[in-house]
Amino acid sequence: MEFNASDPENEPTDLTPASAHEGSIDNTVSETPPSTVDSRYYSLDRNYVSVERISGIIFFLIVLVSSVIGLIGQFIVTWDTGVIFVAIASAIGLLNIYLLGNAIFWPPVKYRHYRWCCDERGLEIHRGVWWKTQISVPLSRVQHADVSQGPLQRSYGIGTLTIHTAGTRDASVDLPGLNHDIALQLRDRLVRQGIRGHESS
Amino acid sequence: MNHPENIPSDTGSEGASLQSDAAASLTTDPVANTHNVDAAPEVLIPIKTTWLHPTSLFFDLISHSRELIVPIAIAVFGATTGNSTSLFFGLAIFIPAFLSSAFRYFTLRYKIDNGELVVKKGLIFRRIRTVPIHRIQNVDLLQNPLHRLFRVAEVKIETASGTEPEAVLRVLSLKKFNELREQIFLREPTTNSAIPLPASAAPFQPQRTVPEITPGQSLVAIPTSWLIKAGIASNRGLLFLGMATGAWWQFKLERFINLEDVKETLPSLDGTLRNTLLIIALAIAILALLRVASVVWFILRFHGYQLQLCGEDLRISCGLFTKITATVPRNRIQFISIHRPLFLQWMGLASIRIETAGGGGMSGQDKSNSRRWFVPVLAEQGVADLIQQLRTGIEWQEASMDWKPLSQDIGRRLRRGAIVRSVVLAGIGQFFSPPWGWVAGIVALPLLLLWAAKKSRALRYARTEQFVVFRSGVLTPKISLTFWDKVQTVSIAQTPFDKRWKMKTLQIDTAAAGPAEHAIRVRYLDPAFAKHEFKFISGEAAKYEPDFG
Repeated sequence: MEFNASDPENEPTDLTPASAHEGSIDNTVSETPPSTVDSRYYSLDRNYVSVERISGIIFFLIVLVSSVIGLIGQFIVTWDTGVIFVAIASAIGLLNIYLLGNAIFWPPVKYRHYRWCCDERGLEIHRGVWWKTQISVPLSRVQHADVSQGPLQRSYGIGTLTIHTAGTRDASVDLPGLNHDIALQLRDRLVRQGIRGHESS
Repeated sequence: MNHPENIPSDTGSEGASLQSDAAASLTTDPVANTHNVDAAPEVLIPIKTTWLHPTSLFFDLISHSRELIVPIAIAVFGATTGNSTSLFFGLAIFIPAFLSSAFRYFTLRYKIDNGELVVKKGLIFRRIRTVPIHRIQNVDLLQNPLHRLFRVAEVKIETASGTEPEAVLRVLSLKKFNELREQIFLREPTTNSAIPLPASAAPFQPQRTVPEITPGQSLVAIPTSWLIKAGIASNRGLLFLGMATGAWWQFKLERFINLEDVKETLPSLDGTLRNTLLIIALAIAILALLRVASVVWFILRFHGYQLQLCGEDLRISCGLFTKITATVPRNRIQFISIHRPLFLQWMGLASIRIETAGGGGMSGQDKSNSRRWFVPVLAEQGVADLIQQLRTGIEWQEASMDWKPLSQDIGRRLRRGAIVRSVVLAGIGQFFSPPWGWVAGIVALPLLLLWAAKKSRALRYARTEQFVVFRSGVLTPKISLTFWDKVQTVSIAQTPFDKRWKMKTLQIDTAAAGPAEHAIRVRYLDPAFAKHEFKFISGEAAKYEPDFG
C-alpha cells in the first residue's frame, strides 16, 4: 500500500538540489523584493495538505452517504442479501475505504513532491508522485497570470496561481497551494517581468 | 487542446486596440487612433465607406448553402421518394438564410481611415471592427469560377491574433479588392522584426498598378506531374468513398439501378469462380477509383501552385477552379514539419507543413488548409533549400544533423512492449476462438518486433544553435523543427514505466495548434540528458522574445 510509506510526520524527501522547507518560504519571499532573482526551489504552503485533505474527506463523505443510501435502497427493493448483494456491498465498502485513505494519506505525499522555483529565466514547477512532470515557463512567454481562491482555500490563506501562455498543450499552467500573498507577489513578478521583456524588444 | 482565447493575442501595448468591436466606440474617434498614426505611412489615401459588391447577396447565400446543403439534399431526395413535406422543410430553412444574407449585404460596409481598416456591420446590434493597417498580416483571396464570372472575390483579412479572420468581405469586386490590397500593402515592410533581409530576396516593392503581381522570388512551382504522383500516394480519395457510401445509404440510390440488368452484362461463368473474380475486380476498381479521386482532389486544389517570397512575406497561390492566395509572414512561422509518407518517399517527393501563430489554427477549414498544405508536394532535393528560405539564417542539412542518442535501452524496451502485446493478443485470441486463437499472438509477434525496431530507428532528436529537431514515425516519417523564440514551455515527464527503464520524456510546447500533426515529444531519453536539454532549452527560450509579427 503506497500510503503507508507516506506518513505526514516523516521528513520530506529531498527531491531537488536546493529544497526548502516551509519555514523559509515566508522568510525569503517576504524579505527580498519580488523582482530579485532567486534560484532556490520552494515547497508549497503547508496548509495545502489540510485543504486537500478536507476536500478529499468531503468528497469521501458524499460518496459514503450516496453509497449507503444506494445499498439501503437496493436492499429495500430486492429484500435480498444474497451473494451478489454482499459482493456489491463489499466492493463499495472497499472503494470508500480507499477514498478515505486517499484523502488522509495522499495529500502529504503530493505536497512533498511539489517544488517550484522562479529565477531570472522563468518559473519552473516540479510535480507528480508516480507520473512526474517538470515544466518550465520562460518569463517572456507569460501572457497573463491569475490567482484564484476557493472558499476552503481562502479560509486557509492559500491560492492557486494560473499562468497562461500562447502554447497549446500547456496553454495554462497551474501552481496550487501557494500562500496567497506569495501567489500575488509571484503573479506580479511574472507579469511585470514578462511585460518589461516585451517592451525592451 | 486548442484554447482559442489563449492563442497569442498581441502582448504588446497595442493589443487592446486590435479588436475594438465594442459598441461604445461607435464613431471612429480621431483621438483614439492617434497612436497608430506614426506607424501608418502618410501616403495612405483613405478609402471612403464602401459597400460590398451587389452579387454579395448571391455569394453569401451560396456560401451558406454549404451549411444548407444537407437539409436541401434531404429535401430534394425526400421529394423524389414522394415525401412532399420535406420540401416545406427545405423552404423553411432557405427563406431565413436568404433574409440573413440580405441583411448582411445591406448593413456591412468598410473603410480605411487614419491608418485603420474599419468594418461595420449590423443594424440593431452594431459591430465595428477596427484593425490598424500595419497589423494586418494576411489578405487572403478566394476566387471560384462563379466569382470569376462576375469578376469578384472573397477577401479575408487576418492579423496575428486569434484563429478567426479579422474580417471576411464576401464578396468584393476585383477593382475594390485591388484598391484595398494596395492600401494595406503600401505599408512599410515590417520593421519590428530583427531579422535582416537576405541579399537574395527581392526587397518589398509595393506596386500601384496591379498589386497581385508584386515582384517576388519564386521558391516553388509545382508541376502537374507531381500533383498526380502526390494524388496516387495519398488517401484523400477515402473521403470521397466515405461520402459516396453515406449518400448511397442515405438516399437508397440502388433503387435507380436494376441489378438484373447488371447481371446480364456480366460474362456467364461458374458461380464461385465468378464471385471471386467479381470481388477481385470490384476491389481493384475501388482502389483505382480512390487513387483517381485523390489525383483529382490534388489537381483541383493545387493546380498552378506557386510559392513566392516577397520581402518577408511568403505568398501562396493555387487552385484550378477555386483560386486561393494566401500570405504568410516569415517571422510568424512557428513550426516547420516535413512529412515523407512512404509512397511519396519512393517517388522522391516530400511535403512540408508549417504552423503560424493565429490565423492558421484548426478552425475554418478553408483558411487553415492553405497553410496545412503549405507545400503539398516537393522534390526531395528541393527540401533543404526551401527550409533555409523559411527563416533567415537557418542552416538545414538533414544528413549531417547531429542526432543525439536516445537511451540505450530503447530497443530492449520496445521489444519488451512488442512481446507483451503479442501475449495479450494471444490471450484475447484464445478467449474468443479456442483452442487455436493463441496462434494470432505468435503470428503477430514478428510483425510487432519489426515495428518496434523500425520505431526505435525512426526516433531522432537533435538540437542546433537555432532550433530543435524531432523526427518520428514509421509509415509517415515526420521531421519537425521549432525555434527558440517560438518555444512556449518546456517540460520533462516520467511515468512509472519510464522510471523502471530509467528514461524521461522531453516535451516542447509551441503556439502551433495542429495542422502539422506532430508535437515535439521526445520519449525514451536518458534522464540526465533530458534534464540537461530541459535546462538548456528553457534557458535559450528565455533569451528571446516571442514574435508574433
